Amino acid sequence: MLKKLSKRNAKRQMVDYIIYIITLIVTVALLLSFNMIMFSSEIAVLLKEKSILPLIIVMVSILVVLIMSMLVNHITMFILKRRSKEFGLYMLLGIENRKIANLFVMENRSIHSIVLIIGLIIGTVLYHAIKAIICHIYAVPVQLSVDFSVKATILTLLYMSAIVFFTEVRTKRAFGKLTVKELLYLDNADIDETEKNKKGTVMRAVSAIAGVIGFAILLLSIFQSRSENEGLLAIVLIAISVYGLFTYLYRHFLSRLKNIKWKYAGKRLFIYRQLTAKMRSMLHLMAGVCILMTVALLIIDWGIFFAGKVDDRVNAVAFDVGIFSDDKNADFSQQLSYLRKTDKLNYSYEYRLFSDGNDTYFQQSQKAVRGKLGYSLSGADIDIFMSVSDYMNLREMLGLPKIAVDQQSYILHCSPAYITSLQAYVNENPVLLVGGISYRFGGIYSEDFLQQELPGNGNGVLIIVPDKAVSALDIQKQVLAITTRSDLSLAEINELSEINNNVDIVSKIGVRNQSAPMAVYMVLPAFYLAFVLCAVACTILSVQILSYAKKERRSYLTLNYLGVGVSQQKKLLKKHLLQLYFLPAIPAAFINILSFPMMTGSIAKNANGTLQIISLFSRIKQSFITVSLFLIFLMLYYVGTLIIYEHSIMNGQ
Amino acid sequence: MSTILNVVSVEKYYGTKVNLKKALDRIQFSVNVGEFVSIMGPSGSGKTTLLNCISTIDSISAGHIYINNEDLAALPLEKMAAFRRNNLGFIFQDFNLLDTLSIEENIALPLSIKNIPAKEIQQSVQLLMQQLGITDIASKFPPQVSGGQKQRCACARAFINRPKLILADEPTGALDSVSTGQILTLLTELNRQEQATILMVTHDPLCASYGKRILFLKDGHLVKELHRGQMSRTDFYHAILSEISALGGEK
Repeated sequence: MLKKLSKRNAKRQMVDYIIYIITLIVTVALLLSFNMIMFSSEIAVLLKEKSILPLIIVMVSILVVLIMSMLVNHITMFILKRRSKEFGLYMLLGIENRKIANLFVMENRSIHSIVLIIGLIIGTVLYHAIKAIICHIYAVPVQLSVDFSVKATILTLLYMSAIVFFTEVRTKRAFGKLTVKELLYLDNADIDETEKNKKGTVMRAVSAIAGVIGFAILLLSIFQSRSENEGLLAIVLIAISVYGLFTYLYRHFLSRLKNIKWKYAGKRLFIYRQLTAKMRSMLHLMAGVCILMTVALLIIDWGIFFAGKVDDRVNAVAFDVGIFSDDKNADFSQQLSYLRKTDKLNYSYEYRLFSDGNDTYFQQSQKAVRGKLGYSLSGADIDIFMSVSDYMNLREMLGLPKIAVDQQSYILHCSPAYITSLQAYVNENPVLLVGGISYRFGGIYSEDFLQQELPGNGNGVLIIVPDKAVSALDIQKQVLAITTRSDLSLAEINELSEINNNVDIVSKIGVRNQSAPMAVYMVLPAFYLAFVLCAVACTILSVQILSYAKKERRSYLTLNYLGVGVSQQKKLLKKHLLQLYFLPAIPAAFINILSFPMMTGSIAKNANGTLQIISLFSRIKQSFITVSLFLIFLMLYYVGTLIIYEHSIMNGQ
Repeated sequence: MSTILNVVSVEKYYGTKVNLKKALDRIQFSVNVGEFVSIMGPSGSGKTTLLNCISTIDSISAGHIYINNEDLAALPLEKMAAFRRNNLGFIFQDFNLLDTLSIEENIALPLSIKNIPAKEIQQSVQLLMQQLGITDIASKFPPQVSGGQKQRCACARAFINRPKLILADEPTGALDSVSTGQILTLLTELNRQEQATILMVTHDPLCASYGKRILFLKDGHLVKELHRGQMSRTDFYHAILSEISALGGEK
C-alpha cells in the first residue's frame, strides 16, 4: 500500500516540480557529456598528451555536484514543508517516522532514477555537440559516431549519488526529529518577527557598508589601475550588498503604495501589492538568487572573452602563412614550390624588415601596456621598419584599402591597443630621422597585419618609410608572406617547416592550434559552470513562485468577480511574473556592466600572447552579449514557469 | 417600480447526454429595483447555480436572464467582465478579500479597476468606511481582522461601485451570531437607505427573514414564493419555518 502511495506521489511531484526535474536532467546530461569528453581518445589526440582538461573538468564537476546538492537539498526541504500536513496525517494514522522518511526518500529516488536515465540519454547526444565545438575551435572536421563510455557513465552515477546522498541523510534526520504537531503546522511556521527584524537590521547595515566599499573600489579603479584581488573584493562586496538592495526596493515599493494617486492609477494597486507581499517572504531567496546570477554572469563574461580570443588571435595573423628568415639572402623557392604542389597557393610576396637599432616607438607603445598591467608584455625589443612599396603591396594582398603616402612622410602601423600612446608620442615628436633625413608623420593604421606574433611585422608597431630611406637601415628579416585559396592543414605546415629548419613559420592554423587549448580549458568549463549556476537560480525562483499558485488562484478569481476579464488577468499575471523574475536579474546585470574596470585589467593580463587593452566600447559590447545570453536563458525559464503558473491559476475560469 | 432582474424559464444541465443532471428547471421570477430577496433551499437545490448564472460566472442551458433589460445570454464573452464590473457586486461566505491588500485598498479595488480618479476613490472609500464603522481598521490587512470585520469590508467592496444588483452567497455562513446580526442589519440598511437591490442565497431561516421576499428552491424547481408584506421580522421568521417544514425540512 505504501509503495503504491509512494509511486502515485512521485508521479504527482514530477508534474508539480517539472522545472526542477528538467534542471536536474540537463545537469546529469552535462556531467555525462563532460565526463565523456574527459575519457574520449579522439579529444585526447586533439588536446595532446599532457592536457589539463581532465583536471579542470573534474574540478568543475565537483563544484557542480556541490551546487546541485544544495539545490536538491533546498527543493527537497521545500517539498517536505509543502507536504508536511500529508506526512502529519500519515503519522496520525500510526505510520512510524522511519517509514514515512523511507517513503519520501523512495519517492525522490524514483524521480532521480528517471532523471538519471533521461539525463544519460541526452548527455550522450550533448557529448557530440561539445565535441563538435572543440573540433570547430581546432578547425578539424567532426567525425560522427555512436559513443558510449562505461567510465564516464560510472563517474556520472557517482556524481549523482553524491548529489542526492547529503539530502537523503538530512531528510531521514529531519523526519526522525519531527512530531505530528510540528508536521501539521510546519507549513504555517514563521520565525519570530522581532528576531527577524533584528537580524534584518544587522544584515541591512552590513550590506550597506559592503556596497559602499565595493562601489568605491570600482570607481577608483576607473581612474587608477587596481590589483585583480581588489577588483574581486569589490565584486564580492557588491554581491553582499544585494540583500540591502532588495530590502531597499521592498521599502521603496511600500512607500510608493502610500501615495494614493500613484497606487490607484491603472492596475498598480493589485500588481504592486502582490509584488511587495512576495518580496516580503522571498527577500532572502531573491538576494541569494541575485548573487548566483551575478556570479554566473561574471563567469559567462570570462568565457565569452576567451571564446573570442582564439579567433581574434588567428585574425591578427592576417596572412595564411608568414615565413621569416634572419638570412638577408634567404631563398624561399623550395617552400613556394611545395605550396604550389598543394594547389592551395593564392598570392605570395617577398619583402624585408629593417631596423635602426633604436627602440623609441616600441617603448612608447609599451606605455599603454605598462599603464594598464604594470609591466611590459614581452620585454625589450627594437623598432622595425618597412618600405612603403612593400607595405602597399602587402595591403593590396590582404585586400586592405589603398592609402597615399608622399616621399617626405612616414606612417605607423600598430596593434589597436597601442594607438593612443603612439598617437600621443607623435603629436609631440612628429619628425622621424632616418639616415640624416627628416620625415614627417603621415598617419597611423591598425588593421590586422601579423603584428601580435613573434616573429611578426614588428612587435606590435611597424614604421613605414619611403623606399629610399630603408637603404640607410640594417636588414633584420627576409620574409615571405602567403595567402592561400583554402586552409592549410597542420600537417602541411609541419612539412613546410621541415624544408628549412632555419626559418620561423607563423601560420593561421598553427596559431589556432596553439591558442585553442586555452579556449577549450577556459570557455567550455566556464559555460558549464555558468549554466549550472543560472539553472539553479532560475529553478529556485520558479519552484518558489509556482508554490504560490494555489493562493494566487483565489486572488485572480476575486478579480474575475470584480469584472477583470481573463485576458486582462493574463496580462497582470505576466507582468507580475516578469517583475519577480527580473528583480534579481537586473542588479546582477548591472553589477556585471559595472565590473568593467576590474575586468579590463585582469582579463587582459590572462590573455596570453595576444594583448588587447579592452576599450570601453568593446567592454560594453561584451557586456551586451553576456547580458543578452543570460536574458535568453532567463526567458526560457520565465516562459516555462509562466505556462505552468497561468495554467494553474486560469484553469477553469 | 421597475424590474432590475428578470429570470425567464431558465434551465441548467450538467454532465453528459448519458448522465444528464438538471440543476435548474424552468426557473422564472423577477426582482424590482430596491428589493431584498432571499433564495432558500436545501443543499443541491440549485441556489448557488442560480446565483452563478445570474452573476455571469456560469452559463444557462435554456431561457433568459435579463439584468437591467440586458439579456445575459446574448452578451458576448469579452463584454461579460465589463458587465460584472459595472452592474454587479458580490459578497461571499468566505469573504474573498485579497490578503495582500489592506482593508481600505480591498474596498477601493473595484473603483481602481474602473480607473476612477484617485481623489474620488479616496473620498468614496472614506465615506463608506465611516458608514460601515470600519475606519479604524482601514490600514489593517485581512488576516489581522475578525470575520465580521472582513465581511463588512466585503460588503463595502460590493457596494462601493453602487452596483445595480448585489449578489450575496451565504454571506453569514462563516460568522458567529453577533457578527451575523451586524452584517444582516448592514445589508438591510444598505437596502433601505441606499436603495441597493440585494439577492441573497442562504439556508438559514433567520438570515432569510431579513429579506422582503423569499424564493424557495427544491431539486432545481422554484416551489414557493413568500412575501413579508406587513409582517414583523419575527412573524416572517416563523412563517419561513412553517414553510420549510411544509416543504419537508430545512435542508
